[in-house]
Amino acid sequence: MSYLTANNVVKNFKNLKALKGVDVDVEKGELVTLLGPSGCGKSTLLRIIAGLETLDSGDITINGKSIVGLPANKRNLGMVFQQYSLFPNMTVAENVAFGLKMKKVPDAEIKTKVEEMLSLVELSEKNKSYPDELSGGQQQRVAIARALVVQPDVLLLDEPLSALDAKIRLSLRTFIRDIQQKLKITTIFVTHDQEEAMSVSDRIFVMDAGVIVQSGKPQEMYQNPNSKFVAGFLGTFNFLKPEMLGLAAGSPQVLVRPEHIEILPDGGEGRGIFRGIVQNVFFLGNISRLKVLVGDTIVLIDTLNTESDNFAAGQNITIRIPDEKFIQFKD
Amino acid sequence: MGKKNTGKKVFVVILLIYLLLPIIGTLLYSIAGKWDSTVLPQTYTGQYYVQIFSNPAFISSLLRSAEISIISALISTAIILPCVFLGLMRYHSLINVFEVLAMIPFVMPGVVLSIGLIQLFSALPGNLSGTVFVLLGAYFVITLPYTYQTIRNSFRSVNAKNMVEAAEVLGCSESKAFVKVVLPNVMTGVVSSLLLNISILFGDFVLVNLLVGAGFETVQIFLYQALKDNGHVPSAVVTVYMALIFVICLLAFIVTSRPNRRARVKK
Repeated sequence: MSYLTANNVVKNFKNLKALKGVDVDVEKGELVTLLGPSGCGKSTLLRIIAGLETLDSGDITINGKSIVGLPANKRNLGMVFQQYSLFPNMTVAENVAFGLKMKKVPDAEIKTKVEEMLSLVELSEKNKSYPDELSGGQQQRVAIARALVVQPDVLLLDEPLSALDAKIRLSLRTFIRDIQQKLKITTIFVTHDQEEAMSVSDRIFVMDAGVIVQSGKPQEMYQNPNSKFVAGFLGTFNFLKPEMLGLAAGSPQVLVRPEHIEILPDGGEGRGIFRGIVQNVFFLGNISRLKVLVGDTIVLIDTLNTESDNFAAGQNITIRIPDEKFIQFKD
Repeated sequence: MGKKNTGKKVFVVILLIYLLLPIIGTLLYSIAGKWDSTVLPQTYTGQYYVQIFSNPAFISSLLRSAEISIISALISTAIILPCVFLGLMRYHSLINVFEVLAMIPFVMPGVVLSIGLIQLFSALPGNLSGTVFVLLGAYFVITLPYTYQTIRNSFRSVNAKNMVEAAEVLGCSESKAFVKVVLPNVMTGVVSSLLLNISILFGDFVLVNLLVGAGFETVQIFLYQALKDNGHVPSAVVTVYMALIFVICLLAFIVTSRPNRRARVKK
């Protein structure tokens, strides 16, 4: 049996069915991500696990024991919120010590643990600062330290990076993953950012409209999405008409990832080879995304940026869409 | 740009003259000895201040005004504060009820309110009509909008719900979170609401006159009685009253302009 399980969890808000029988299992020491668009129920599920919302039916267990009847303050969980939720009237050290004080840990032990935790999040020198004297990234690191210092059974992260700017977000997600692996703490991470989810997770649960639509390891899910929704949510896909690729009319749409389409510098003829005109070039750092018009269809192609390849709008190119990279869904 | 600023300055000066002229006039009249046909008094005297401060009735009325204002403001805050907290945390429909209730004192004139209260309490057993308890109730109603709006805004500005949830997950009970986390962060709003209410209630004449009358002589009732004699004594009373209100406003200003940690939280 998994360390944490959510079994057939149902939650309704008046007329809105937020969760329609959700099942999630998390192994000890694993980091799983609940990924989905706004309103899919991912934060609701996390709040139910935390005890901040009640469920209508179903069960949540940790280490085999149901926690459904327990109030939030008796569940021994750690939670990090999107808006940090630090206590403005307390210093960094007081914020981190808060949970330990609630557990009536002796003062000397609190001092040691707070120092250790602040050292872990690299904020030892800020122990006497107030939250408003810290940057957003530093505040979120304090929030992480505050959640971890009580040695929770499970760490819950509710979109912890959403309020931060891109650069800090990138470094903090690596930081979270490093700490999680160092402490081997069971973690549930909620996000709507697929890149964030794929980079930090052991497993991902993709949610849509109150149900889990697919779960698995990031790479497996990226390569083998089980629906158009998951395919569209995890990375970018070209949705092509089957006739374009020589398939029977009326057969399902074909999905091909932009990085799977090849550019043939010397041209060519044959099955899956097309000519197109570059409409636009988007420079994305190590890759460029080309928007190419093939017949009446727009095709996106990702290509590694090299010194020799300089594509420009209006350029004629030949592309190959390999059969083996097609994905088709009936839905 | 320069013309714009000049216009603003002229407007501010005119506004200040308009607001300060009656105050200065009252102050001058309270210390005027002989003042017949000149712009400023011909002679000055402090006798009217000596007169009112040596009058036990004035001191008592001042103390009564302070007592009733402070007690009413404290009761109002003590009731509204936990109600708003519970409304924001649990019973969200309570907030809608408060929003409607908080509008009523604005649309209902004090006279109508007091007559309604007199009729209500006359009909009730216990003979509360004409007692100071009716006044406490009326003051609670009058101060409800100010107390509610100020406290609600304080809770929202510190995102109290989020802070309580964070505290709960850390092992704190909801009531403890209210005391340890929410209250220290909304204290500025609570104190400014208290001071605002005290200054409003200090100036009440309509309700106290109609509900309790001479049986409970506040500074406003004393002023009303003093108006029957000459203009100098009431001017001295008004000046003392205004000085008190000024001190209360100054306190409110100091409290609300203290560095607010929450307001400076970086994103």
